[in-house]
Amino acid sequence: MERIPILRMGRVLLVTIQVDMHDQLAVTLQDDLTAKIVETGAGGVLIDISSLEVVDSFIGRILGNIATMSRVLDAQTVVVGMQPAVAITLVELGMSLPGIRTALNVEKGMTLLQASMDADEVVLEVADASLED
Amino acid sequence: MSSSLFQSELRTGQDVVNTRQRGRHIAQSLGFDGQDQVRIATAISEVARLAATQANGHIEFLLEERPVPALLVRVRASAFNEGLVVGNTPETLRPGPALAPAQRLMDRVVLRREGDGWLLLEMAQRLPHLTPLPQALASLRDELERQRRSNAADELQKQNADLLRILDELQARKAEVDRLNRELEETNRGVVALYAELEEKAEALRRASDMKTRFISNVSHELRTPISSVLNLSRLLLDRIDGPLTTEQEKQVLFIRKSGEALQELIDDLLDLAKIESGRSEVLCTRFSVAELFGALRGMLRPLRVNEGVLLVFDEPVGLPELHTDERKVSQILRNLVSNALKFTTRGEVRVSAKPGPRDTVVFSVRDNGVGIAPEDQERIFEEFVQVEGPHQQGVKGTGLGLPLSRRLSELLGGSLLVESQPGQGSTFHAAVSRDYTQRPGAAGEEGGDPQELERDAPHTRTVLIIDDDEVARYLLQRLLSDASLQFREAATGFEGLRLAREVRPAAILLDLSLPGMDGFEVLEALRREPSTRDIPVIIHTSRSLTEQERGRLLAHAVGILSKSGLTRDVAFDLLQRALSGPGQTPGGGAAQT
Repeated sequence: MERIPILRMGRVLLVTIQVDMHDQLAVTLQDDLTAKIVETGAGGVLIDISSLEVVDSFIGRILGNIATMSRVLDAQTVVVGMQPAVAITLVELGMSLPGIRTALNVEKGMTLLQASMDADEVVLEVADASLED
Repeated sequence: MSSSLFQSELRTGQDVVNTRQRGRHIAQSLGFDGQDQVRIATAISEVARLAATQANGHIEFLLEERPVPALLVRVRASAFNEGLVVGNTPETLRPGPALAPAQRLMDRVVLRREGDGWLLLEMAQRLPHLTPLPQALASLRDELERQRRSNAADELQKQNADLLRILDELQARKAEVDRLNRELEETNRGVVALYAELEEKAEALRRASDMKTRFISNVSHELRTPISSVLNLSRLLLDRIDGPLTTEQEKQVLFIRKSGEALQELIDDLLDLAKIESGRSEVLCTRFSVAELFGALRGMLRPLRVNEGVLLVFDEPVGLPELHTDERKVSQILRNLVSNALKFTTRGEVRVSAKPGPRDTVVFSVRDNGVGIAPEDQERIFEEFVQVEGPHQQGVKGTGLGLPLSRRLSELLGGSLLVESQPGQGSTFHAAVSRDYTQRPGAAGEEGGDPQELERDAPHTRTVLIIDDDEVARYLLQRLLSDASLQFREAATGFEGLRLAREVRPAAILLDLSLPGMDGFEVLEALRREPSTRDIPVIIHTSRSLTEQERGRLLAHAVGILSKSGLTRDVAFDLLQRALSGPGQTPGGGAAQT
């Protein structure tokens, strides 16, 4: 069965969608990704959709689901590389992708992820410090 | 005016993906800019998904020229999609919430019903430029057609792969079937071997059973000769032929006779059983009515009552036809059943009745209200020498042969013998026999010939030759026939008998069949070959039970057959008188059976 590969880079899971996904494939990706987050304890997910020419309401919804589920599993999600025409179409469709953070490209996305993961740790350390007091 | 560019079925998720890619390609070819291409593709994706989920949908791309040149996408979808439409009548029909994305992306979205349960959805996007050139359209159509074909080739390949897979499966299944077949064949061989073994066992059993029958038959014959001597001698004594007896002596001889009779009865039963089992029993059919039979039995069985409080009742048979079967055997069956019933009934009654049964049979029933038979014993009582243990057995004598013999006899007469019983409530035995023995099921049409009576006149000749190796038998015959003022000559062997016959030329010959060296058959043949002895009448005097064939052979050359068992003076004398009734008479033609 065909699948979208999920790569692990340190604490980040990297997903590059390079085919036009049919619905079942998108649902499978969603399942695989949540399972992988639990398995690896990843802190961030980066999804590259620069090859996608069509993002309709269904795929938009799946992306939203992934972001929400990741957050529940203590991981940040950043979607990168969205084509302008796709972005415009999404807006015209009335989908604002709530809860999904976006970045222009992979590099910026990684930076964003790193920063937010660091921030989480700082918050944790502060919490620990305050406990010691 | 519109012209079709491309059309396709919508069945799977992959169809949806292909269609939106195709849509984007068409949009690009028609000069839409990148943004519009994405819009159109996205809108097609939304609508095609709806069409593919419920039932097989269909999509067609058209080029519309009026009112303005536009790309028209026509999708057929099931009307059962949730949220696809609002309103039921054509006037109120409008796109539902599921179509909202498409409405936002396309210039125009129109909906109408088509047939039962189907909706036709049309989306249009105005062309950015003027109508494309016909050549451009033609090349677009060609290209789309090529893509569709390559798709078809892919499809073919996939089907081929499927076929190969199915072939593999079939091969595997065939191998499995072959394996099962081999297993079955092995099992079959095993079964055949087992069957052969069973056959062997059955054959061995049959042989054992035959041997048993032969053994019983032979032993009974051996017993029969001495026991008839004992009986006949005691009869002679009781007839005071050799002088008077004291009261004490008479009592003793009576006891000897009584014991002898009991023994003879047992031997007769055994012989009957053996005869039936070996298939040598003869059925001598006569015509008689049930009323006659009951009349005879009533007289015969009254004295058998052991207990005074038991009534023996014969129901008057009503509406029964005349029977044509062996009266002696039917009577034997009933005697056995009634004497059994009387033995095991202390008070009450024993009732004998007859009524027509199924398949042209007559069913005789003997009912008692005696001790009854436990269900587990109801088949065992028909086995030879089986007597059911119990308090009622005390003081009751029996051989355990009566019931098995009766059952065999009933079967021989084309019927059966069954029992119904409740312990403590009494038993009823039902003996069925064919109304007409010659018409019984499975009858081969044979008929036991009724013995014909010989009609002869008074005798005048004097010398009688007795050929018998048994001294007692010779003596007995002489004593029995003594006051016929006959002269007797004795011969212990066949050779001696033949010599005497030639020398003395006796008026009659009494011939035993079991002789040492030359047996009775050979002696008879020799007598008939010799002209000087050819016309001497011969009476066969034997303890053997003869087959129909043997009887036929003997009666061709002998006046009659005298059985050693149950020999009485009257019968013997009568037969001898007939034999002596005149020289030169034709031998054969009948037999007197005692």
